[in-house]
Amino acid sequence: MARSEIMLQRTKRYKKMVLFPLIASIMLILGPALLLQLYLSFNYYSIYSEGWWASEWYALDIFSEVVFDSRFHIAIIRSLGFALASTVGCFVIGFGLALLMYKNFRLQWFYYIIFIIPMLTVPIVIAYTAEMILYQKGPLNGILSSIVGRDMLIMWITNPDIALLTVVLMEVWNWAPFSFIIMMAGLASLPKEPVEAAQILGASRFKIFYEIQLPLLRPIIVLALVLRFLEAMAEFPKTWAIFQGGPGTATETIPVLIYLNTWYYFDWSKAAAMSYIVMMMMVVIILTAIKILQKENKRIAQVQAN
Amino acid sequence: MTKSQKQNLDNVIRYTLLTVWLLIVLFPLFWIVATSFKPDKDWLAWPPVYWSEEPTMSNYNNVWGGRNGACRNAICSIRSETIHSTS
Repeated sequence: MARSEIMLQRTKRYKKMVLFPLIASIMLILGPALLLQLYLSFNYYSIYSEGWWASEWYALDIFSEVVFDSRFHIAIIRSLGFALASTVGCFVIGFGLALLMYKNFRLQWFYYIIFIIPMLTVPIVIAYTAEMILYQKGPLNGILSSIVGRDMLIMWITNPDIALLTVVLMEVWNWAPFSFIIMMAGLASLPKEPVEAAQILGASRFKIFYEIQLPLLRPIIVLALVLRFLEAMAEFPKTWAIFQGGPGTATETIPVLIYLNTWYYFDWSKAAAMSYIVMMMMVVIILTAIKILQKENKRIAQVQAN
Repeated sequence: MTKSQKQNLDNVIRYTLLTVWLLIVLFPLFWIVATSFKPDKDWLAWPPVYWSEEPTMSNYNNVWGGRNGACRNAICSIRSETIHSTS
């Protein structure tokens, strides 16, 4: 009908009108930085030159140096592994908490308030507090020793094999509430009729969860996973404040490596090239995630239309 | 199992799991507060001291008071700002 087409056009134009100033201001602020990074990726900046404009043209040498740098490869693998572990951990705990808490019960408000607190804490505070707690003769080992019975002197911070796991645990503690509130919103938005119908028909709780709630939750699960993954790839304060790259290079993730290259080795061009390569990688991941999200949303719209 | 027995069991499991995570969330916050009242020797003691036997305000005094404390710092900043801006 013509009227709904006009409404659709108006909605699209309104969306563009509202988004335009936002995107324009982001481009205004980010634009110069991105352009400078692009420039530095092709022109070698040395701190001995008179300024960034006096950088020498190196064409693709800087990019090829970065692409074939094994330290960079291993940092990418570490970052991906860390982001994966932290995303799965945050999701499992967040989803579990949401499943336990989305129905109203007596002390729900109390638990809800306290569960949100870790997300609101400043990451540096979490980093230094964790450093105090994870000290080899600190309270965490003390509690574990009391539970297990004998002295558990786990070297959370000084053992290069466990260091990345320690950061994952800190990250999960910090950001599980994020997944928690996303999944709470998702569970609250589920329609009640299919669940009630299934309960009347006598389906077990597990079956109701697995076959009715989970498929409807898929787009929100994808959203929670993707958002957490992107943020985890960019995690810096907790890794740097405690480890500065880890015992050796055990926790040298991409942000840490870029920071080292920029402010310790003063190799700005290499850092700029690394930033661009990582940005391209993340853009690919985001586009894939958006495609998956769109497919899921279309599937749900189809199911609901039937 | 009757319906109300099942609901009771659900509640028990729910409260147990939620309380476990509650303790995990609250412990670092408790540790910060408890450590702020500890004298030096209790900071890194082993077995760990969860609440000091002799709580002290000396840490707060170091941060806020004295020659290099936050209060004197703030007052000096304000005074130098006013002198600088009115001169």
